[in-house]
Amino acid sequence: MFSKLAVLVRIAFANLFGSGINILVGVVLFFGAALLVVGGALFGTLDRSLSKSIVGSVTGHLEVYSARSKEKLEVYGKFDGSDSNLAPIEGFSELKAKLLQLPNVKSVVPQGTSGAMLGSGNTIDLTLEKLRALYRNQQDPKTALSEADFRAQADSVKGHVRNMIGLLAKDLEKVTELGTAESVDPEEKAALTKTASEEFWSTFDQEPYAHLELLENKVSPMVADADLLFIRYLGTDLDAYQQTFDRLQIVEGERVPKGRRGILLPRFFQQEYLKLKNARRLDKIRDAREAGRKISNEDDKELQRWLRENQTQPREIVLQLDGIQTKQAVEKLQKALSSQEADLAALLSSFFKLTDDNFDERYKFFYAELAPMLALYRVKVGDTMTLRSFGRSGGFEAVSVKVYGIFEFNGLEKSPVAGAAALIDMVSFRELYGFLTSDKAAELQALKDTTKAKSVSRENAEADLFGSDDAVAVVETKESKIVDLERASGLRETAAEKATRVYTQAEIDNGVVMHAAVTLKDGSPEAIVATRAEIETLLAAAKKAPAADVVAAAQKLLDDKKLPFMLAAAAGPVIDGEKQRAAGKDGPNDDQLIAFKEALFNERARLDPAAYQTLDTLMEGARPEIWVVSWSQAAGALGQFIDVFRLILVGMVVAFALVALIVVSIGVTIATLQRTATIGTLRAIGAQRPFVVGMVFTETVVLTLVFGILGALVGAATVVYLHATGIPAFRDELYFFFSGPALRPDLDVANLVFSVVTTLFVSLLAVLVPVFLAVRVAPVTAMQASE
Amino acid sequence: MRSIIIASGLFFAASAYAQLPKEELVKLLAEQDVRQSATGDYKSLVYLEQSEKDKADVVRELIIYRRDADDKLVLLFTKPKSEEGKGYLRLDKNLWLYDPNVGKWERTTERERIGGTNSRRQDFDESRLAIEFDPELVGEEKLGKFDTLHLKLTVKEGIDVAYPIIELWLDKATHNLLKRQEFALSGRLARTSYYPKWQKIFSESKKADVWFPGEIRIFDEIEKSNKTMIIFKSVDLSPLDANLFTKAWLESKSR
Repeated sequence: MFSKLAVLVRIAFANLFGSGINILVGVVLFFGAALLVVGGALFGTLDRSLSKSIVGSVTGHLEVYSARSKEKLEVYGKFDGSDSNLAPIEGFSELKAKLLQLPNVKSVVPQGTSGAMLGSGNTIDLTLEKLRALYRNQQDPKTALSEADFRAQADSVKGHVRNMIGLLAKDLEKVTELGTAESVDPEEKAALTKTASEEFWSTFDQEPYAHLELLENKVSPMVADADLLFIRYLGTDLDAYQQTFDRLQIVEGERVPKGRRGILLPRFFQQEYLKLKNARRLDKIRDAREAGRKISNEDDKELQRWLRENQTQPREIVLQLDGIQTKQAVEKLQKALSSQEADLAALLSSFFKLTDDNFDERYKFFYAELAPMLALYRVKVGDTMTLRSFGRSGGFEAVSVKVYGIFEFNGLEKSPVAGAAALIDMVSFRELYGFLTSDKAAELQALKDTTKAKSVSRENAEADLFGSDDAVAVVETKESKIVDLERASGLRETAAEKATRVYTQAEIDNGVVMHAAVTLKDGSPEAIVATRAEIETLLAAAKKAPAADVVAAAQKLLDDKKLPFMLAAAAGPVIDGEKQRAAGKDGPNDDQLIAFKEALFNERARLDPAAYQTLDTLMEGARPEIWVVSWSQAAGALGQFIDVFRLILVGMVVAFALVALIVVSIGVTIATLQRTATIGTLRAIGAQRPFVVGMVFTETVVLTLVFGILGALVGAATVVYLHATGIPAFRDELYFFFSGPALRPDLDVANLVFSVVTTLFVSLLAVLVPVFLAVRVAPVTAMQASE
Repeated sequence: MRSIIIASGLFFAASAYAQLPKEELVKLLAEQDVRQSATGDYKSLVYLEQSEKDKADVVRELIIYRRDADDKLVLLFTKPKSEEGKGYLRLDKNLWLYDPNVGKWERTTERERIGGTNSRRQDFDESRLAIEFDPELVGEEKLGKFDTLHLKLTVKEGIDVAYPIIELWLDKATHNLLKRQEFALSGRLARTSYYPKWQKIFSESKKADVWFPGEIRIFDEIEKSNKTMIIFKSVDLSPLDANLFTKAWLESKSR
């Protein structure tokens, strides 16, 4: 037996390079095996990296949310940028306690995602706001400064305002000089003249508010408003979040103290949107030069745009400086540029004429000499930031929160995805979210009831309102005394009280929570699946027993084929699951239920009302109160990239298998046909059919193993090389997918084995046809062929 | 014969309107403005409700304070409790929003949705149609049981309003404003409003009646399922505090 095998192996090795066809087949197997090793490592690592990015920054291993929600949870927002329409989790603290009982659950962090506008206002608005706050605080003994401090601060802010008025007056002069004076609003001119006068400032303290209102209403609107900024935020128990997600790193400032209100801003957002635009452009030019781009390259449109905008838009800097600072900046720039120009804007334009030669020097000068006089960021650590959001109960909600720090996630520093959302405390999140509580709803209903307004539909509006004879009668009415609102202060804490209050854990946990991240002690894929099932079982315990009639009615709809295909496919497992549950076994799982809910929603228009009602009742009876989903499901579209990676990998394997199947099959068939005489001779001298079959199989196995293993080894070497050098994230967006600045594919022994086994399996499958041909060769045929 | 006479009469009457010179149309607008002008101070208690599909209704109560002589306006929200103390202040061309939750002022625009509803500042403020718009007659139309004059108004240059083009339907008999449609610059219809109840109060300072719409029904033409209702519950023409139209006054309400 072994001697026969040894003979077959020797024949196989002797024939290995015996024909060109063999070499061709070998090369295909070589590249196939190498591709499987590299592709497997690449996509496997991408899969792990993306999961690391998502799990480590937001979702944890699992997410839970209310099963009453109208839509699926997508923590990064939906495709259109809006947030999922979720119902709040009722009784979060009880849910948290329940989940923490499971041995593998490490933490449960409450969350809610939403977006808000950042308070707007131009430079003058912001400066006048400071001045108003100074005078307002001075009236209250609790917040008043000493007279000397107040005077010093007020004079400094006033100096800044006067400087800005001076600049606006200069602009007006230029307009007049250019002969376009008719475009000057006389009211604006009068306001500037008045507010620039000595008399205005010398009488300021006599009536500070009247003076401020003149400035706010007449002067401030002359300056264009600052950009309106939109910020996404994740409301959470900041203390728990900071402990759970250890990739979070505070790069400036500090963590939000336990129980305090506060916000942490992502570094990416701070740099991209809050930084002084001229400075940000300088940074971008620096980064571009470091990446090998040249200022001299006029075809680099983006770089040229940054250069141009810096030269033409120095105003943001000019408006920020008061009189003394302007003088200092002018002196410094005159010296640096060897210029006699006295106008700061003109000097800045010259300064921003950058070349590859002067860039480094000017970049250094900007940050060393000019930046210390400027507010480089619109909001900085320690500031109070005002966020405005359109609340769920209608109307705008606003909160002011202190910026405690700037954060980034380790390895995801440049990722726009990871750096898109700020972190805000749960109490502020709830205020911004403006959830309609039952108390609020009752108050609104009472208000509606007292007004007793008739409802009018759009369709019938004109007939209802103007169709009758008594419509639009002008009614003589009498004055009635309207009582003024005396004070609205009893309803709310002051901003100062809110800022200093420490909220208890119960206050943080008890209230609206939209979803929660569950992190696990063992976060391996198998453990995630197992713990998810445990949580589902735990939460399913609260379900009522299935209603037999509803299940039967749903089954009938299915049997009668009254349901559209997709809905029938989704309903089947749920109906079966409910039958199982009625029998005391496990019911349908969350994936089945969520799929059914989606299908029911999508097909609702095609169902007759009775059928919809039956299925909806089935759904309501079968679902738990809380869904538990994996991190990739919670990540929505972003999480689906994982499926895309897996699909690509499967596609690669299938494509390779098909190519190999065809090439090996044809190759070995040709090789077999070429050796008809040899096979016939072997048969003539006594070789039996099994020997011939064994010979062809052994030759194929040897060919596959030699080239397959060689290919796998070359693939492995490529992976080791890529791991050592790393594939750089050439776009910022890739940071998130790579979970860092470079993707370093890991070599997995399983990948090696898989590639060789797949190659072997496909080859053996492909060799069946040639084997069939070989065994049909009769000795006489072979001899005739040789004659 | 009789019908011919009636028809001829209507034709000539219609022709008379169709030939209305621009000055007459401006007078029609000025009449609207004068009727609603308070001359002295004006205060009104207002109920505001907005319905949107799949959302809870927005319900508010607010007090309007107006001093038309100085073009000043304050809107102070009084209900529900969570909105109490929030307000708007119009000074010159500026519309300020104050939120006592954060103690801050924000300058908003004419397009500001008051209290998050589809109402605009102009729905609560004095009427300035003749000052802000140039009119032209579109024709005569029937609106329910009413014969109306249909006017198209275009904003004058340099004036900032929420909608640059508006169309009005005025009752031919009483000149009451019944319907108003507002368009964006692109010509897209944004809102349709109805004024089904007009009321008037005699003002001592004006020595004439002050007219105000008992209610306004606004239908959103962009989000078709949204509608807003403004009900003017009562009006008080007593003199107002001299310092009322200041930021300090609105701040003091919630300090």
